[in-house]
Amino acid sequence: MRSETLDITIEGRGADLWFILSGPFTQEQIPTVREKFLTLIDDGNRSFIVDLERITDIDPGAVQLFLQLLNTVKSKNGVFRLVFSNENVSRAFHPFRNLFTIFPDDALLRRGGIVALLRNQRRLLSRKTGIRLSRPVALFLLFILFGWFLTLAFIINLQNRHIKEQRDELQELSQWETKSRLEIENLRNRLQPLEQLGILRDTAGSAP
Amino acid sequence: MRRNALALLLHPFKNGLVPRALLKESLGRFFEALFTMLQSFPQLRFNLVIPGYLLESVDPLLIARLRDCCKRNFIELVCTGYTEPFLSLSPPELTIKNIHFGLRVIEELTGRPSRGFLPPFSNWEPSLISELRAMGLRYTLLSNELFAGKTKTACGYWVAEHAGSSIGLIGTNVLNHANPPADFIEWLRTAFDNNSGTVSEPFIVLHYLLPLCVEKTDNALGYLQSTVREIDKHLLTYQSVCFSDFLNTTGPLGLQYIPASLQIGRRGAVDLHFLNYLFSFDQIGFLQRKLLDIYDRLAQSEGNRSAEALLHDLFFVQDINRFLPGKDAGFEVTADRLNSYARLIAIDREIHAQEKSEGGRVRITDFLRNGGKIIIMSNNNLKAFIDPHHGGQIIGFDFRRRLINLCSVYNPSRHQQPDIIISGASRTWFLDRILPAIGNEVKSGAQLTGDTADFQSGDFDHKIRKTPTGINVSLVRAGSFFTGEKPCPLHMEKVFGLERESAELLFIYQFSNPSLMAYRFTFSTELYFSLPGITDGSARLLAGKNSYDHIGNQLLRLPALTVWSIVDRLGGIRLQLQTQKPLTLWCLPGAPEGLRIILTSAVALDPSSQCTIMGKLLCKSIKKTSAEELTDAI
Repeated sequence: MRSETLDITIEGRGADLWFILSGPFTQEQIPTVREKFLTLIDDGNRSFIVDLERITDIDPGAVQLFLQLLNTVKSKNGVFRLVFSNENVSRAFHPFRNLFTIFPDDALLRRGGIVALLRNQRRLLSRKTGIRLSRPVALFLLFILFGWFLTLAFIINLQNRHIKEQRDELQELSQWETKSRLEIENLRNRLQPLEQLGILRDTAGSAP
Repeated sequence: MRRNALALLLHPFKNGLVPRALLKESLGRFFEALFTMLQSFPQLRFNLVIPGYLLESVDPLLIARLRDCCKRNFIELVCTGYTEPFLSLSPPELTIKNIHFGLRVIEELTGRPSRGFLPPFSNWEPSLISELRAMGLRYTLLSNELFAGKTKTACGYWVAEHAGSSIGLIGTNVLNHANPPADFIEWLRTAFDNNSGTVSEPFIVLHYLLPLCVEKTDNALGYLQSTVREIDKHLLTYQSVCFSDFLNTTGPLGLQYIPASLQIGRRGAVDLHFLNYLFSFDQIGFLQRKLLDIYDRLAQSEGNRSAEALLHDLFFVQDINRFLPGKDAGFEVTADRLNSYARLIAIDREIHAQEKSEGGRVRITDFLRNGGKIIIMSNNNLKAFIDPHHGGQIIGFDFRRRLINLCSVYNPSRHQQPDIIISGASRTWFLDRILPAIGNEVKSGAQLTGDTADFQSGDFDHKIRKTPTGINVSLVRAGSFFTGEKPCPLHMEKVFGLERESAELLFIYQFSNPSLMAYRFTFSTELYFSLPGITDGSARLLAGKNSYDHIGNQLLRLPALTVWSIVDRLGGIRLQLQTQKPLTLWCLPGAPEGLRIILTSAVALDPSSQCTIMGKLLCKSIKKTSAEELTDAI
């Protein structure tokens, strides 16, 4: 029945075009939604945010539609983001989570800065690796990691100090050697005339 | 000696919108009269039904006295809600909030909670029983006209049950000062003698309707005082009771199942198909759908403090008096209807401001709840409701700055079907016709209503465009029109657009001739304008250097116009319509409290050619002559 078809809202917020869908997204809706998107792309819109939070039921073909739209938008150097956290839609998009930029709500989407960057990175990593950590475990692991780094730094510092001491010692010995050589040379030079006169014998070279 | 129990239920009411100052004065007089009666007849007990907002309008000194009377059990208060919600037309959650808030106001002001509920006009919905019980209500009051057969005359109270929940049900006998029984005591005796119930203590409720309007209040109070005097003389026979006291001491007569119902008018049969009846009137449906839409959007931002305040405004729109037909109040009266729209548009504007959208928005939704889709195009200043399934007409147009729906003219002819919008019967904008060409121009108004095409009720395909400059909706139909007996194909594309946040509606008509024949016809489009100044004749039509007063009462024909305006100082609005090509403007009489305008243009289309008509409607706010705002009256 036509009354069960999708409600669509299109509005601009800043540089982004929001496309908000509400209701059941059935196979019959796909051509309509595709046509609307392509018209908006032809009108020069490049930054799309599609809010699927109020979708009650989603046909697998709809996910394929969004993949096509993602390709189309990206080919025109555009941005295509999704906003949802509801279970039905999350389940439908699960195999393709790595391909889309998905936000659980618009508040998170609007948040910028380093924290948001870290959060996004965390999400990306969890998607790629499939590993999800709870906050206490993550904090504990961070603590351990930090401890390791501290220990490493301490060891490096220690070794640096040891190396410095050895270097100093080496330098000292080198200086003493140089000084000794000079003294020996000096003494040799002083003894040489006496050796030439035969008063002193050179015993340094003779074996006992 | 056994005494018959008698409950006096006083019901001060107003149907129409009344300025607050006048209402306060009227309520003051009523309460003074009530306290005087209590002093004069200390043996009598009164039950008072009053909505929360009326109680808030009562002078605090009188409230203090009322509080004292309630504490001493001289008066028991019965609730209708904060206002008087129309149970059958409102979203149930909104109704529950309304009743809940009303109970809170009554308890805060009087110090005693109310245990009774009276749905005005006996508008009963059995599905609400569980919610009413959850709010602590013990009984509900309905006219005994709703009861079946002999139970109408039973002197007692019943229990109504629905899906496992039950509530006390008390039937009332409505008394009106305009139509009183000739001998009151005789009438009362007869009522008790005709008792068909079997209880030890027969019980009757006398439901006094007391209009809160300066001219009629004195008459009604006079009648009440004389009736109360009569009852006081017969105290040995009739004991005056409060409802709760009676229910605590006496058992019910049995079960009663009352279906969803409404009683309009003083007496008469209750029609179970009352919703079909109501929706056969014009405008009520659109008003109600707007209420539902606003509530749905408010419900999404629940918990927000501003949403709570807006919800309280919605209680006034939900009032049953706004949704009943009548000559003095309700959607048939322009001022009343415009007031309801003004409140809804004010709330909508507030919600829109919080949503922070820019450059316009388009929503495609089943607004009319009839299985079809409506396209709602809006920006900060304007909101247009377009029906692509019925001729691509604009069925509602809000000028938000002035809180007015410019497309809300009432049609007194009732619809055959209870449909919200009927093409050709509902008074909308851009109702398109193709008229046969007569020479080069249509000569008289009578020729303007014939239609040889299928566009006015046809289904249009639509496309939405959003660009940095604005939004537009393009509606396309491949239709036809008749020349003699022969159908001729004709394509029509009409485009409506809003430019960013400006208060301008752009419209474009493009006709394409796909055939190999040349066409000559007259295109006409009809618009109905709803403005406060049209009712009192103060609105003027300006075309060039000419100015026309009392528009809507006379036939006007203004040829070759590209610019014309309607100025309404009462509403503070100036509407200017500009077109690229000259059009003929016809201003026709016959639309009560509205303005009917038809624009015509001769069209000549060569084979495989196109013709375009472009224009824009500018809405401007101007200084109002009247200081009193439409929304001040409640």
